Amino acid sequence: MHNTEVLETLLQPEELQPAVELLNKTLAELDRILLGRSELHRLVLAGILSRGHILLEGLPGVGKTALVKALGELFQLQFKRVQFTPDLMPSDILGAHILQQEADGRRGLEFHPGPVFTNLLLADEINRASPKTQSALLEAMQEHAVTLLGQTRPLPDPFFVLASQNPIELEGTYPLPEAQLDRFLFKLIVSSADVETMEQIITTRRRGEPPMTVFNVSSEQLQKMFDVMERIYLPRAVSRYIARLVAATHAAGAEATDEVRSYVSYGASPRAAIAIAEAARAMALLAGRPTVGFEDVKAVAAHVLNHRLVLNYKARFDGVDALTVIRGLLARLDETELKLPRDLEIVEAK
Amino acid sequence: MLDAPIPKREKQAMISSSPDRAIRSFMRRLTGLITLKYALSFLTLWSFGWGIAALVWRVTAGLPRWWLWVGIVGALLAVGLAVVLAQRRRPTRATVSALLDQQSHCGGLLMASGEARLGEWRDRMPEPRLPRLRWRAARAWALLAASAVFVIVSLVAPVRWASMNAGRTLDVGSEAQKLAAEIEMLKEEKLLSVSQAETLEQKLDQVKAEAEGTDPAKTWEALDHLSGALDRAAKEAAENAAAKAERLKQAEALAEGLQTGASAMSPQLTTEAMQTLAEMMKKAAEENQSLAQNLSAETQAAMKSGSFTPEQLKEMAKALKQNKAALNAQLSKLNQAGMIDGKNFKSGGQADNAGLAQFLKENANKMSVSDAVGQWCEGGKGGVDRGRGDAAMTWTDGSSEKGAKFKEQVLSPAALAGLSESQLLGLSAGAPTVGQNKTVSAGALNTAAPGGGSAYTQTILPRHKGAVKRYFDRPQGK
Repeated sequence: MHNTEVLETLLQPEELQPAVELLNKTLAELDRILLGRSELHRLVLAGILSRGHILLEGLPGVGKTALVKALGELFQLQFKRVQFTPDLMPSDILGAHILQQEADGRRGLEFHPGPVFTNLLLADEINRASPKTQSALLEAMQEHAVTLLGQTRPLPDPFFVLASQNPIELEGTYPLPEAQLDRFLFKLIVSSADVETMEQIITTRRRGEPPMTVFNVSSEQLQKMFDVMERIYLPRAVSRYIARLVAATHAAGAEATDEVRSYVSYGASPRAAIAIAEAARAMALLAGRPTVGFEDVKAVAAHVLNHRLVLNYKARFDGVDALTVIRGLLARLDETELKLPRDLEIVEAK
Repeated sequence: MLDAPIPKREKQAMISSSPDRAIRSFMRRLTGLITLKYALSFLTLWSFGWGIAALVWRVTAGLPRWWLWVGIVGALLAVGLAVVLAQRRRPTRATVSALLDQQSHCGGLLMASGEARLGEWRDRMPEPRLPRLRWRAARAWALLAASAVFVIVSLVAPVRWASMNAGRTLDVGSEAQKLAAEIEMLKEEKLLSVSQAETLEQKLDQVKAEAEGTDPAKTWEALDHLSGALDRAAKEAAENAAAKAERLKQAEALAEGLQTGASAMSPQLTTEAMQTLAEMMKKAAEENQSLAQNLSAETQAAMKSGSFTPEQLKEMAKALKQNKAALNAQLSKLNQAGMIDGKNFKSGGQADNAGLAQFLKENANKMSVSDAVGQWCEGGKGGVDRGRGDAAMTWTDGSSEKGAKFKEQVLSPAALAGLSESQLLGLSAGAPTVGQNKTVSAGALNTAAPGGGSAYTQTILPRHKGAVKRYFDRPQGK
């Protein structure tokens, strides 16, 4: 029996600091390019650091596409945009084999990669494509690879899908199936800008065009950030909190709230727990910490879970959305799982 | 990332560091509070249980001294149990560090301090702030205080308060008081001897002490027995007194008769009467000691000789009257006490004895003087009569209800409802009279025809007529 303990050493400040400074600069640059979206930028950056795909939902003209384009420029990543339409075919995204005659006169099928072979794919109005075309992205998003005619081709690393969808004009659209929704790390609601922001935009931006980037993140720098992300420590208590939180989204969960029991048909999957953990790590890194705290989990939980809960008809009748259910769950679930005897309670430290 | 084992010195430094001290300090506080909470609860339960047991013990068998030790040992065990349970309920270090991390906004560093090497982060980590623990202890303390008060009360309260029979003692105070008064009266009147009275008083005290509501029949039976014994003694004494009074009355009658009518009697009859009087007086003097005290020496001497002067006769009559009055007073007391029925022991009033001499003369050849005096005092004057007007009425046993009593019958609710709906036509003080056959004008017999006017008539319903006719039909030739 060994009496010695083997412990992991946390990322030390001098190791963490360069990545944090880089991230702060990136955030500042994003904030400079797109005005009034600081929180959205943090979440998008957290999604990038988590190597997750992001679904942006918002009305036309709120800056969804501009944000993705700015990200592409900022990270000096290969960026492609696909405008999803009902007649878009899978091969329009994944690529196709085309019969070619070679120099020696022989004919063969030559693969022409589609726009998915990129680092950053903007799937604009993804819900306008047919389910067949939407499904073509499933393997690409999960496996970071494309299989055609029995041959699997890896996608460039890193690979992100940033999709956008319009919550109105639902006629002629195909809502994303649960399986595809589950592959998105975040579903971020892009709201309209406030008066001050709009005033600033029209004052400082000619025709609304964003300024050119003056700062870029190289692929090496991005890789370093990913390496740092790998070493962000997730304490066991936080892991357990994430697991309890996800379990509580199921109506049969031991800690499910009354709202969950009343309104949720299907709760979140284990993939959601993994997503929360990764996103919380990214938030901790953005905050300049080597460890994940409960507040990091709370910051990302709603964005990870809101598109993963399947609500029942009663929720629609009562006007209850997923975010309301999640907020209630976050408010009621005790992070520490400290069970005190009756009449005994903790008074928050001043 | 896994690193090399932590050197002992570094590990010691980690343990004694500020976050660790904070965690251990909070755990101690929390454990202490949980222990105190459990200890209060268990002590309260133990105190109530022990108090109840002590109370039961005191009431049933008396509290042994070692019972106090049981209480102390039980209290110590309760505290011990509280400590054990509090240790089991104590949160883990990881839980407490998570709590302090959350409360101090350490961003996971404090939680990680127990799982990983913090390195330079240990110095950069915010100082853990210990949250306050709030315990709503008022109810627990109040219950403990109540249990302590209960223990004290169960130990010092008089046992009779808690006696299980306290509420079941049979109250026989008034009955016992009545019987005690009767015994006292019989003792005063010397109708009971001192030893008899003491025996009865002891029995009465015993019945009072043993009177229990759980078995009232036993007590009432004993009281009835005592009351019966007293009544029998009273009745016996009353009968004696009445007999004595009767004899005194006869002697008084004879003395007065001789006093007023001796001249009408023959000398022989007078001598016989005086000797009879002397015998009566001697017997009366034996029965009533006070009688002799009221007589002069000359009279007492004359009683021996059987010859009295008119003065002596007068003195004797007076003494007899006084003794008779004393006996009547005794009877009256017994009557007032309800121990005898006064009507059964009525002493005769003052009779007019002027005609006694004549009565003796008339019956001189028919009966002795004593019999004649007895008949005179009974009021009989000879011949057939209906007895004395003031003779006591005697009652035999009550009439038997056999054959005369109505048979009891439980009526059904429907029958009772029918009775309540019945109509009262009239009331008659006299016996019911058998009237002529009349048609019943109501009820089921509404349409029945009257009978044929025979000696025993009965109204027959039309539907029964066939059956009755067939019953009385006699085949031809029989």
